[in-house]
Amino acid sequence: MKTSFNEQNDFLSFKQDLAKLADSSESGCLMVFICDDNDWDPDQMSAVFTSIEVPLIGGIFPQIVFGVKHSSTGYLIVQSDLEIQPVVIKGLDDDSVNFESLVDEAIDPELQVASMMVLVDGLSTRISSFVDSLFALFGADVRYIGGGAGSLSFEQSPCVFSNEGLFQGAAVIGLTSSSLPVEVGHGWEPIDKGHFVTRVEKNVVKEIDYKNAFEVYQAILAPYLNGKSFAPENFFEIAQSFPLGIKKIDGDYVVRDPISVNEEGHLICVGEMQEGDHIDILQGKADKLISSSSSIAEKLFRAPQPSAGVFVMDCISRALFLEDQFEAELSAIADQANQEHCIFGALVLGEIANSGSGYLEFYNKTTVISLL
Amino acid sequence: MNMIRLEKQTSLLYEIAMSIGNSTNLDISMKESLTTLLRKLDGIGIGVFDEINTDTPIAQIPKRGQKISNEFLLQALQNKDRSQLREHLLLEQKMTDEYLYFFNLPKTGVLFFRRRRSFDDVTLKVLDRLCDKLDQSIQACFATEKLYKKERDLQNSLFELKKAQEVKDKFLATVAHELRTPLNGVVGFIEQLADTDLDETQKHYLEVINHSSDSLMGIINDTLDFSKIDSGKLELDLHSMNLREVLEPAIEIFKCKASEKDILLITEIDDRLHQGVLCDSLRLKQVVSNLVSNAIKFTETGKVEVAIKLVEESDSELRVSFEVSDTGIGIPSSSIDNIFDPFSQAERATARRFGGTGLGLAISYQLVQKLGSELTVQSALNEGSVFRFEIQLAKTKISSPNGENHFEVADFSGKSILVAEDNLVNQMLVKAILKSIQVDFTIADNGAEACVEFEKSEFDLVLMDINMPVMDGLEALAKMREFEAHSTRSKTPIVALTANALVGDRERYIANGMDDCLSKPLKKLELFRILEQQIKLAK
Repeated sequence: MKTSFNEQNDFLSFKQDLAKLADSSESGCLMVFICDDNDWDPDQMSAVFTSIEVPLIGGIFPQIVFGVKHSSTGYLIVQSDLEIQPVVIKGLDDDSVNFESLVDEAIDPELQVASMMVLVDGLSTRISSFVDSLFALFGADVRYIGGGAGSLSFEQSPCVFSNEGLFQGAAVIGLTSSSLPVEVGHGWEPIDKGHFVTRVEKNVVKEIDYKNAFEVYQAILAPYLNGKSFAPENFFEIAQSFPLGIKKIDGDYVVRDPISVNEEGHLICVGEMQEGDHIDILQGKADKLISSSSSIAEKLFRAPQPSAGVFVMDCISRALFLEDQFEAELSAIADQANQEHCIFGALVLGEIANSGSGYLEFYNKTTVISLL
Repeated sequence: MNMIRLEKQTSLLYEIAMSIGNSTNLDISMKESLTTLLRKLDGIGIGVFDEINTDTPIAQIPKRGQKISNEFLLQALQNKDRSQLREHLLLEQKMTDEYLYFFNLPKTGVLFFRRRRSFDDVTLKVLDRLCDKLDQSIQACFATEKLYKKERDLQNSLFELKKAQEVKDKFLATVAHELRTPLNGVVGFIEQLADTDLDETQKHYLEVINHSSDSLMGIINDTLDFSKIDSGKLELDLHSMNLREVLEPAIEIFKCKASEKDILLITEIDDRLHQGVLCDSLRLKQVVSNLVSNAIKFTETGKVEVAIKLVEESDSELRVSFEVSDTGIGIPSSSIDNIFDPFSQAERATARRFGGTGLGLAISYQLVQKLGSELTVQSALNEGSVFRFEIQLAKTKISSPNGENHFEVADFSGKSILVAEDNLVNQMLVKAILKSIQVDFTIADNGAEACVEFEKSEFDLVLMDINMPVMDGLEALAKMREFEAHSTRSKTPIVALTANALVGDRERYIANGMDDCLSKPLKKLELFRILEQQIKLAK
């Protein structure tokens, strides 16, 4: 595995480094992570990606991760021996698209698929439907790891790419016949239990327990705010510490991040929810979150792993919540690995993962790791 | 502990139950229900098999790479009839790295569920309770599919029926055309022949020919009328009329026939019916004439009475009853319910004895229905019958009384008419009529020849047959109109001359650019009326 990590916003260096790594690749693939703050020209980037002949997938993310560092500028190029076949699925904002048949047509049934790296435009409206369709076709016998690319400004722009170019409202999938181990964890804990989503439209929660969603959410959080007001103006500042948890049967949660509230008092989340979802209100504590990351890394390395790369898809909102302590989370993962393991990846807008143990989910505020 | 179990059971039941039965489309319903079951119960595979096809599931997730052991599936299906572990759990199987469960869907088959870990009792209880709901929702989808299939079949049948109706209409139009063309010659020349010097025997023969051609025309008209009514294409032509002026002469015609049979024909029209009313005089006359004609036909002795009475009058409307009674053979009670069905006469013997198509009453019944009423009959065998209906008529002012029956031929001498007609007999007839009014005419054998003549000379009017060889009438019309558009010549009236007599034909020809339409067999009076209208208009 070869890497090129540069925290500088330097498009020329990026082009040269990418070309150099592509030239040196006789097999395997290139994985590219670019920071959104670089603000590079989409057309120029697209031209660079289409010129690469080595299978390539990547995205533009709020931050990139290399070792225990995370940066909001620069780029990271990883040249891996892993053989992948990139596939692009468009229409993640289009309500008329039937993803199941689209993916079915795009992926040859004869192709042996053991794992998928799935990078999606994290601000698309139909990510959960797309993820559901992946599971509906391939099930739990395939391992999945990935996340949402895009900007923290929450303005949608082209952000996922492959050798076919740079796309908005799309997903880029790297299909491989290697079975990649995957671990998922979050560390968020419930503070208020037993609520139901009673009216929802995709990622907009309109009612909880048959009442206005924001009014219910406000009332639940009030005792935890020490008298601080909680209004639409300071919504994200407070809500990022109190995500919603969709309860799973084993007691764990699929975390949903409410990022804003609209004029009608509806909560806008990253990721879709369904009517009837049983939710608890969660709260994060730094030590619990870091401990969760350490725990999943420990599970990942429990069996001897000769692989050289630790692929991390960590939620940007964990970094925002943990602030200075976020590097401790990356260190917790690094501590479980050994010197030969290169930690790389990105801080993303929602995570996609399945270790084969159950249903494939689109998560928020979660850490996903895998070994390449 | 029990409270926790109860809470878990309740919330799971609520979450999953909300996703079941939300659609009657099997694919959508299955996808929604099975996805929710998988997600909420953290499964890795799920599907539904029916009891007949154990090779292919009705639905399953995931679609690729999931193959359920036929041995376990058959075992589960067998267990449906035996005592079970729990109410719905048919089979539980531990595999190398997963658990496989089969649940009973009583009417559908089985639900299988794959999971990495085993289910606890609470979850099994939840699934147990949801199986019935899932089963019912699948059955509802099947029932809906069956209904949709029936609806599709019905729509296909309707489509085929409409196609058949169109073929029938076309057939009738063609037959009518083929019958009317030679009849045109017969009727036309009867009129011409009647104007010549004939001895008494010849006059008698001519009357017989005239009577026979009238009967033949009646049959053709009945058939066409019935076809129009049957296909819903008959439109009433409502206009101002006076009931007495329209109906009295129509009934009067039958006096001769009645006296031939020694039957008394009594007509009683209410004196108060002098008011103009809005109605389709042709169709009303057709109904009354048909009833009177039938009454005379089926009466050997006694009388036929026609009574037209004012029942009610308001400022704007009249309610009028029409009654035709006879002392004829009557209708057997076994036949009276079908008397208005097409091709129905009371008995086969009646048809042989009295003749007719059996369409007259069916047409009358439907025409009365079109006029907003119902034709009823009361009858006693060998005593007679009474046919009756009442209609509501709006009052109007009459524009031109007696206009229908009096027509003075204008002077057309010196006018020139181009006649496009391929049939030699029809050519001769038109020639004879036009000669009688000193009109100059040019005959063209087809549309192409007519166009040549039209461009060569200016005519006061063109009579254009529709069905002609080489170039038909509509194509010739288009060429003539195009010629006019590119020349300084003013618009010449072009009148369609056709044996196509189905409803809508006239409108179609006029929409194509014809100024009017004359139907064959050509009647002198109608031709004169058209000539006067069109040539006057052209002036």
